[in-house]
Amino acid sequence: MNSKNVELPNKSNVHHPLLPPLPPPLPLSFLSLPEDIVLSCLARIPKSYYPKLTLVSKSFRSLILSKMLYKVRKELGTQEECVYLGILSPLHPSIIWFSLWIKPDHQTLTQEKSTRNLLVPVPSAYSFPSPYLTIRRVGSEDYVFPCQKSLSSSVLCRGVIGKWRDAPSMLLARKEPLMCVLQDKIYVMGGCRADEHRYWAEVFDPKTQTWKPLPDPDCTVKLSLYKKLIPGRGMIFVKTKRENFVYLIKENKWELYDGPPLVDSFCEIENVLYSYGDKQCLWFETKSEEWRSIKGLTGLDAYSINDTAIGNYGGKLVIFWDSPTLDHSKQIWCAVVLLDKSLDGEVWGQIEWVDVVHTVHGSLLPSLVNIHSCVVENI
Amino acid sequence: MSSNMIMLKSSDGASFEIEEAAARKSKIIANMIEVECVDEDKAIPLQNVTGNILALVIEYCNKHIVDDDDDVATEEASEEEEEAKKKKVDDWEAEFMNSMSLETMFELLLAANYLNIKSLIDLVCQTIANNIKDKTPEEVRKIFSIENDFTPEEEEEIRKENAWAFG
Repeated sequence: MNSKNVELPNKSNVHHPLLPPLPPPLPLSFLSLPEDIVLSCLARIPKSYYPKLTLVSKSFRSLILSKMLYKVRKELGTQEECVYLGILSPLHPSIIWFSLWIKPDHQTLTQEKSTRNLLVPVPSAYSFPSPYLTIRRVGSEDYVFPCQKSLSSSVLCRGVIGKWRDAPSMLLARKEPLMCVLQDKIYVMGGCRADEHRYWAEVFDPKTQTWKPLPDPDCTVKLSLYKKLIPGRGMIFVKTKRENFVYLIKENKWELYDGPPLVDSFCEIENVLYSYGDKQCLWFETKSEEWRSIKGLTGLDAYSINDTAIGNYGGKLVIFWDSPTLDHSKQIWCAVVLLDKSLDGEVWGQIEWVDVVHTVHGSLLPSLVNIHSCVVENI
Repeated sequence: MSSNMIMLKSSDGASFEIEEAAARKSKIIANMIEVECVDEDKAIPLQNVTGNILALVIEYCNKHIVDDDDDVATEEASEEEEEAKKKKVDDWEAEFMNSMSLETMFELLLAANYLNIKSLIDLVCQTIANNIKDKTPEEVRKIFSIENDFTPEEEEEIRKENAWAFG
């Protein structure tokens, strides 16, 4: 069209001073292309294809298992939502993470009985990074606690944009502590040895940039493997398998809690708060300030449900629960629920699929295994 | 639209005339134009790009010359028109990529990278990604001439580790 091709004698060209320096002679196989280009190709492939591709060759495998690949996915905006489930076992020193493997070209249950969706170990070629739990936003600042993998008291902080800087350290080094933000303060509990006498719980006030210890709670709280923090109005509930406790902020004291059952699994989808408890999926109606059950979700109550965790999976509700089996192992179930806010002001749910996604094996003491939490991240 | 013409010269000595607006798709060339480094009578030598690849690059740039100017007109265009136009470009791109061998694709990618033409890099990378994704490891090795450097034991180990992905 606009170009015309005029053949000229092949004289030696003078390299233009503004062009970048010449790379080495043309390589022509995929893996000998510059690494950033190869990564840019791989980053555009849906992650569910990755495990299979690790078999191609050693260098292919190391690229797929590289942190760089996830950086490039972020830059290109090819990230996908990944559902993580954490479980706790008394025989394991930290949270055991799994990611929900959804088969490529997954179709909702047709003739097949099983979806073959599974919880697979983290890290794997499917989800290399572990979820990052220890980041909290207060006001316009993010606080990161590098105490996810090992004991640490340090804290980093940064504004919405800007560089990370050191924030005042916690009074005690912790690993995987319980955290919540309430009234613009960060509460951190546990993650230390149960026989630590002081500072089992502490609170950070970003205004004064200081940590203050909270009074020590009952030993049941400190010794319990399974605990969940549930922020309330002016108080923080701590749920354990045996008893529940509450820390009253104003009075600065702990009390045994014997009120109505605590619902500990929440998530927010399009500004609506959802929870799951007592075999019911609930949503919070803000006008009447009450929990209402999701309509049309029949069938879920047929399962024997122990622990649960829920999350926002791309606008759908993902629900996990565990169920004991006759042979003393434990099955983890998953359901993905489509939500529809109808005109009559109700929320209707439709189960997209439900299936066993994992069986906890004997080596983890299945009867004592608990679901910790569900996290959905873009990776 | 500028009707200035620019001359490009490939590594094997072929010269091409291209509209400035099309050449500006390359950040490198656009930058050279900005700093007035381009002499109208002299061709810009591209020592790293052969004539046949440069012809493809130019074909791509000419086809996409309109996109940028179109931004102004978008407001008037209806959604349907926009969609139809996008489909036309997509179809053209699919046809364009379909017509070349894998080796040409790699050369084109290197040229796009060298000349810093982002949308072309995206197009070729996406095409390669689509070529890889639903293939078996054996097929990927074959298509891309990649040698399997795993021992049978190592391969077995990885298969076991990711057994869930092969079911």
